[in-house]
Amino acid sequence: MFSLFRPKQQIYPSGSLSSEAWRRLRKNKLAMISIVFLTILSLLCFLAPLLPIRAWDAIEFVEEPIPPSAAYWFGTDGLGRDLFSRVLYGGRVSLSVGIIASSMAVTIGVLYGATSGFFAGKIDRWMMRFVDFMYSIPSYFVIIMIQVVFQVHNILFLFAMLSLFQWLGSARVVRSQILSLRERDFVTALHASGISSAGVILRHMIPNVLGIVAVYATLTVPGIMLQEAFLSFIGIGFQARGSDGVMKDIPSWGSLLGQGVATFETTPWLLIFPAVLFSMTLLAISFLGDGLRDALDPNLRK
Amino acid sequence: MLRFVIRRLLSAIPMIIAVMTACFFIIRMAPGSPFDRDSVELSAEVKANLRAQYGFDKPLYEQYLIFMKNGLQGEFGESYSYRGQSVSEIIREALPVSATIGFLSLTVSLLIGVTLGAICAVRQNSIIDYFTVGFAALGRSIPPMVLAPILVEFLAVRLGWLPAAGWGNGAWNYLIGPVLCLALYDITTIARLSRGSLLEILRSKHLITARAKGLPETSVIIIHALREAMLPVVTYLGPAAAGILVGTVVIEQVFNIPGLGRYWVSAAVNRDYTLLLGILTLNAVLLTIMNTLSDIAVGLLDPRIRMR
Repeated sequence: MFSLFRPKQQIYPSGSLSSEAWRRLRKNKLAMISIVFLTILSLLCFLAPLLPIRAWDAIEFVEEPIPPSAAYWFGTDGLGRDLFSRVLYGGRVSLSVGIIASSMAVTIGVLYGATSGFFAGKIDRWMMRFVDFMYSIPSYFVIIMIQVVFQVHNILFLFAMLSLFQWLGSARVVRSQILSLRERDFVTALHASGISSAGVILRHMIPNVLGIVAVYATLTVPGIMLQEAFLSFIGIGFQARGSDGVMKDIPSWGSLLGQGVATFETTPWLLIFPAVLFSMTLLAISFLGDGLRDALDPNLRK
Repeated sequence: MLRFVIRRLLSAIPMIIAVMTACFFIIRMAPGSPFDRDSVELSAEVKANLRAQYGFDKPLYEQYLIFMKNGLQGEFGESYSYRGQSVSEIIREALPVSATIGFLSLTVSLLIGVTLGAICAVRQNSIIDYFTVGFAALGRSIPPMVLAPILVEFLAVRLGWLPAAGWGNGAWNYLIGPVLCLALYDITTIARLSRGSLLEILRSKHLITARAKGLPETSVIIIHALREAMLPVVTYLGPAAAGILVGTVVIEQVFNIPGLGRYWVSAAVNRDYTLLLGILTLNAVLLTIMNTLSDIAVGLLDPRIRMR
């Protein structure tokens, strides 16, 4: 099976993260540090339930919020909840939002853009008109409205909502790439050999734009994470069952930031720890995206 | 050129109508009504009265026609949650505040962003370049809701240079904080965009011609290269204006500014349909105007586009 794909990769090296691009990426120190940082952080966050830390909603009686100390590395909030475990559990929400919602958005964008670019002409014009229309719908209003009205706290639904308006950019990028690809000789050859349109798009054209898509996907992640942070910040975020079985607001980095901002003057650590971690994550992701772009840049290819 | 502008303006109108229609039906298709809230239980009679007062008893298509007819004239009726105030009054009061901040922050980000980007492109791989690229990466990664309170803490509370919050009728010292917070993200994006496109253009052939004519390097860059390099930046300004509308929610909350931002979210949360539709329509109109202006500006900058 694998050997079947080999020759194609050699003919169109822009298809995937080839070994050459990987070699170039490895030379990029900033990108490698980012990968290491993101890996460690995700491990910590996703394995948080297995770590010997307090539960994210465990309340302890405290006179006042405890500043960072040996017992509470990041301090506690006014209810005596350990900020360190809240930040890790919050990271679980924020990171999975970033990964899952942006993969959904990019997948939709790629399929839409590829279809539009492949058929070109009238279909393309109408499909792109729809993208313009979606662009001029104020996305945040719609998301807030949907959240307020339907009150759905199913996590998949929330992912779908966050990606609802984020596929537009990748659709545009992929469309313009496909538009230029379809004029190439190998596509004519594919048509001549009687392969169906869907086959040409899915098996031959999309693999050719995957490099750009990978870069674009990486750059979509921070946008979606900021969007989630904004929604949690204004109090329209995620809910889940706590360890006592009651529905409560899950901490995400956005909602932690919101609580931190509210009491910044008296308890600055409640803002500083989540803020630093959030910003470092966004920074690492965008360094990784830039690194990927440089590694895959066809202008640098021999 | 005039034909290009007129054609572009005409194509903006159906877009506004389409967005208004979509917003109306998204809101109306939602189950329930703004009058059944769980906090106050209203009697059936009161509810029926309220429904009649706001025209809810009419068939949906009639409500839609009324909304479109009045909406296109800028009338949206009375707000549900701010009783006794019409939506257009609320907008008239709050819009200038938000618009001032938004306009200033776009101007500031354009000026600083383009300057930084140009310096970086001309002095590629210099210390200034590395510094700006790093600053741009950092600026993109700090969300405004974190930046704003920190800025207040240092510039206002610790150093006492600026007032901590409030509007002060738009006095300049009240404006600095919010405008800076709002502009930071756009500064970094514009700097990155103009650096990238300028770097590409500086290598192109028509600049060699310009240099060969004996033009000094500054005019080569400012007159010939920068004009072309502005294209992606100008295209970005449309979406940037949309982002500013969202950004003001956070900024106005932190700086306690009486702008549109606070109505924005409360209208959605309280299901204040008239206010919500009013703000949504305003938003659609503003966005379309911004996009149209940026398209026209691109046409002015690049003759190839207006020929199409």
